[in-house]
Amino acid sequence: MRHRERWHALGFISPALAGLTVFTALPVALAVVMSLFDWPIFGDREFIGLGNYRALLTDTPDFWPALRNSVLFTVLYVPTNLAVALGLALLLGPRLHGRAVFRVLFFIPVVTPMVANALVWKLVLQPQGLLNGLSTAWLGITLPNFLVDRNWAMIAIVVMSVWAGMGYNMLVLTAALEQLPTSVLEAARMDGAQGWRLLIRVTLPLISPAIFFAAVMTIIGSLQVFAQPQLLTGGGPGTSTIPLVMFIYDTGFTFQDLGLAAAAAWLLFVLIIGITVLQFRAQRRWVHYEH
Amino acid sequence: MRKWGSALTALALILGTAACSSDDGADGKTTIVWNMWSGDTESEQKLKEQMAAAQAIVGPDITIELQTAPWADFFTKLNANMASGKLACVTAMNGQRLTDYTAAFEPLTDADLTTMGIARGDYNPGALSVMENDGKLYGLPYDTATMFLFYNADLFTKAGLEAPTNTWTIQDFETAATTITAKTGVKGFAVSLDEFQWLSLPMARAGRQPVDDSGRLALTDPAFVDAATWYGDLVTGAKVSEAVPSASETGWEVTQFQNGRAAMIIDGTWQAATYTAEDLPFAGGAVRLPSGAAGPFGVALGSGYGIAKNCEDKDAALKVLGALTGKQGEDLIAKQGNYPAQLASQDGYFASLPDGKREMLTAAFQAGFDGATAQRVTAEWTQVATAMPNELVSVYTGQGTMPDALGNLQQKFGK
Repeated sequence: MRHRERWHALGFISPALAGLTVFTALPVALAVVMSLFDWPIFGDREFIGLGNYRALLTDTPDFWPALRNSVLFTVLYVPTNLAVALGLALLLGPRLHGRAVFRVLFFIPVVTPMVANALVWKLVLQPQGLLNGLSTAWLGITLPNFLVDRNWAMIAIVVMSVWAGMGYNMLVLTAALEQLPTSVLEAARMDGAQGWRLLIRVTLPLISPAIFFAAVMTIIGSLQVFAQPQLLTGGGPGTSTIPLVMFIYDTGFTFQDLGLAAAAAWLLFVLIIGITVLQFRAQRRWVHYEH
Repeated sequence: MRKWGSALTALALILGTAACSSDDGADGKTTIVWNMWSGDTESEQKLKEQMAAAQAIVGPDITIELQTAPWADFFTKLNANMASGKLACVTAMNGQRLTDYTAAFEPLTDADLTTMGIARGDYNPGALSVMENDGKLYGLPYDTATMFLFYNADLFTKAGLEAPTNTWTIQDFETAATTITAKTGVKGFAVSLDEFQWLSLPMARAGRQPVDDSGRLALTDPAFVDAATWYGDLVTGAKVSEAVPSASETGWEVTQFQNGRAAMIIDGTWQAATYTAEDLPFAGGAVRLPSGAAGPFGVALGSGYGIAKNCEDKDAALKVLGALTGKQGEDLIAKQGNYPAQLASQDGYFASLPDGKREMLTAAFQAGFDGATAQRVTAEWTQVATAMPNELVSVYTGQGTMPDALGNLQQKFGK
């Protein structure tokens, strides 16, 4: 009986398993193999062991800037995104009338295609754009050329990304806030906790699992950032906004070196896994699950 | 058990159908895919006309199937197709990009040319070189091109200036750009991030290409650096051009020009009909590139079609290639407003121009190829061209210098 059930179970999961094998496991395995070869898009492939990894770390001028940019983006983006999303979630609390409308409004950029978002932001940020136009007309101040200024280009990308991505985390945190146990909150209030103290000592620890989830997912997403810099700044000026994924894309599909691109993709994978593992280890200190 | 049986039967059926759906060409008919870039519905329509004309030539046994992608994505798609060994039998290739793709194309022999009824002497001098690499011919050009200076005649009149001529010097250009900027409030010029759109003026001024005779990258050649620095100064010093707002804005100068926000731009001869068209809000004109101290200088550019190495039916592909780039194909291309690579079809191009523009454009084309040398590229040219915009934007904003920008590129790609 048990034996038969096992076969049935295998039968039921086989479509998903087949999909996972063909579309995930095989490409991942192929990428490992690829990273060990000099693998041009066309022509002979040659096994070079860890040669691609060595070349990346020592002999590819754009790799380190790209890695630095991805990390810098993550460091700037994740805290800002979480802070803004949490702020919005708290503001759109149960006492606010019409909060459903606001939630939809803030969520719209998440579902709009990134290309459209980027185009609009480009029109806002360029020198002949809205922002500089308003600033020169009203204040007489000429703003920097955000998308080509070394100091501003990354900030512009982060600001645009926060605008485009905050809605998702807002929704996650709102859901958590709505399910706070009223008894605990009431008890805290009766004990005299109010305002800031209530937020820091009671509310945030209660929603810490949601914050943890949002943080993990946002960090993974932001280390893979591509569309925003590709569309807004093209990676410029210089190499100041080329993220690792754009480096991988260019190396593989513009410069035709699939082996080097696969090796860089693996380094990115290791980085993401490493950071995620660290987060899971660290969660014991600050994430409180109610059982 | 019965259930397993029927499941297996279903699986077998699916696999069976999949196997049958692949094209076996058993009936003697074959499909040749033709892959080409296309930016808008108008150019797509022109390609469809060319496809129909070629179809009529090759007959019913071969079906030509056109696939297009925008220029900006064309080569990325090509790379993806190459990686999976699915390059279209007849694939478009641009002269500057050919070095990256020679492995994917079947070299054409003189016997192939004879089969197609095409002779080397049919071509504009230098036109075939665009599709050549290391002495091998990898395709046939359908057009031949060089860079032009395009201008907004209305702004010249408004500034009280004579229109540019084919004997203009760099000095004339700079004076006009400065005068227009001062007198009309519209910028006299729009700089570019695109490879030949920006390289052409520095090349003309220096009288040399940024790749030397031996095929080495020479971006830091003192004369070229000097000329390029002058070009960057058009934005930061002379202020006759706005700065490009982002490194992702290749083609920015085109919108500036077409919207009347810049009086002059440099672009390819393939845009001659577009930038002088009646439907523009101003009278557009074209002349050859202004000359530097060493006299007229320019590069011959162009694109063509080659046959993919992985193509299964090369004879059929050769027929399609012959139909697309042969005399009839070239005549049609000329009629559609593109300057053909074959000499015998070039008169057709001039005949197709509107009466008011014919004289001006004929003169520009005749002068434009005077002093034009074959463009030289290095093996890493695609990478150089990809990295250029990111370096140039800093120069235009004044945050970096042209010698530094060229030095960075030379250091990265000049090994």
